[in-house]
Amino acid sequence: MTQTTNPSTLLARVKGARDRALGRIAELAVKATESDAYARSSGTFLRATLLAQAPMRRQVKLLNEWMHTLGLPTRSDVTGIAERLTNIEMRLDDIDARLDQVLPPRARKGNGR
Amino acid sequence: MKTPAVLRAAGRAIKLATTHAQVAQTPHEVVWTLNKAKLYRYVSPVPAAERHPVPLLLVFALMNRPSIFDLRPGASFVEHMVGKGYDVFLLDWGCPGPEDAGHGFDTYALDYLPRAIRKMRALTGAERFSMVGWCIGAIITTIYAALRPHDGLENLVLLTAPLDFTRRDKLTFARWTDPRWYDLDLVLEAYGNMPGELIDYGARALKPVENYLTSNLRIAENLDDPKIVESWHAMNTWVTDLIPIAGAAFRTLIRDLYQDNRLIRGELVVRGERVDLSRIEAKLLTVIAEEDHIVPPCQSETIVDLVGSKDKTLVRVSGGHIGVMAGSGAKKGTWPKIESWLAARSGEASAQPVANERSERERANQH
Repeated sequence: MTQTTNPSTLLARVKGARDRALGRIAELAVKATESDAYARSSGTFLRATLLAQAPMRRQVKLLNEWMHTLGLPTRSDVTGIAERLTNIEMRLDDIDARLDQVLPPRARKGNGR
Repeated sequence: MKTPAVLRAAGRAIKLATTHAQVAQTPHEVVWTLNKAKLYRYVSPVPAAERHPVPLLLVFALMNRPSIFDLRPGASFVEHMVGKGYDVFLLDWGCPGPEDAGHGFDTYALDYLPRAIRKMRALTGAERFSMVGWCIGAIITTIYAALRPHDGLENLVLLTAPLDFTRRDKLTFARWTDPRWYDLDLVLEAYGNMPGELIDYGARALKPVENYLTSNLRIAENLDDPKIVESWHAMNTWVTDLIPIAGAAFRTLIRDLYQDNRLIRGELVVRGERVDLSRIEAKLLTVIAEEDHIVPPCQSETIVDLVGSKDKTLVRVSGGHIGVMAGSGAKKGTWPKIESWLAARSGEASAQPVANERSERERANQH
């Protein structure tokens, strides 16, 4: 006599076993990433990657200097302008604050909200 | 010819993972901007006369978007609070560019935040306000509360706040950023700002199997459940919308906080001012997520004993770092707890300025 197994029960069992296995693997993975060994190796890997990119950064620096010599705007010039714009925005915000003191926005908008 | 079911499911899964859900849908307007920062004010369905007189400002972390406060209709803290009669504002720090690499906690806590608060108070006419800070947003609001205790802050709510870095044995991030092997100067020299992708990798690597495998398996198995799919899609949209942390702020986070634990020891100096937590006078609610693996409870517990506030409450809720506010249980768990705590402290009496504070401010204005 042969026993038949309901496919949905079988699937549920397979999923259950899978979830238990994944749960165990997850615990081990957390233990691994929490360890000093992982911290040390990831730090070393990051440092090595960034040092390997250093020649590229030096090239960019040289390119910037070359552009500066030619009188062309460099990245630092553009970021400098952006910083100045932010400072101007802050001064405008100071003026807005004064305006709000003289004529509160609620009065200006007629308290319509 | 009919496409096999497996291929159809795979197509749907790929579409879900590669498209963006609509997030942050609660009606709002931009009422203030500075550089990339924006202050949103939410449109209230509650008549003005029935609203709480103390406005509420939400401040999120520097990484990821603040849209997590307003993830999707029916699952939005903003929508919940607006519906309960709060005048809700949200400060969006924006995405820092290379020109913002010099932005530190001083910039955020002493330039951007006070200016946004000033605008909020001008728009509402309220002297006093409540503020919710989440994750690094909680660090910034704590610094602000300690350095500007007489600026009208009535209620301070800290959500999963990484403030105490004493228990290094429980902090995986502290181990990873240990100065023995983490070269902070080299990282910032290379990138300027800390890339969002690296921060995201770090957060996911805390629970690699869950974040890279199990969560994807769950959605693959539930593609026919629109509720689960909608929720996952919105969360995935938020999680993958990465923004960098400004270089100077990241330096302070790692060196002064993760490595030296200066804030809780009372040694953190921000723009020449020592951050003394005992100067915090606002009523304090600290919300701790019991299953938080990014900011373990031990990082948020000690603040309660260090502040000068007379009214202070510590609440523990079930959930993880993000799930505590944006998970399926938040609507019945965390939100009502925050709302009822605030409601008891956001009435007319709380909206009035304390006499000596007003005179102090008036004196300051005269100089």
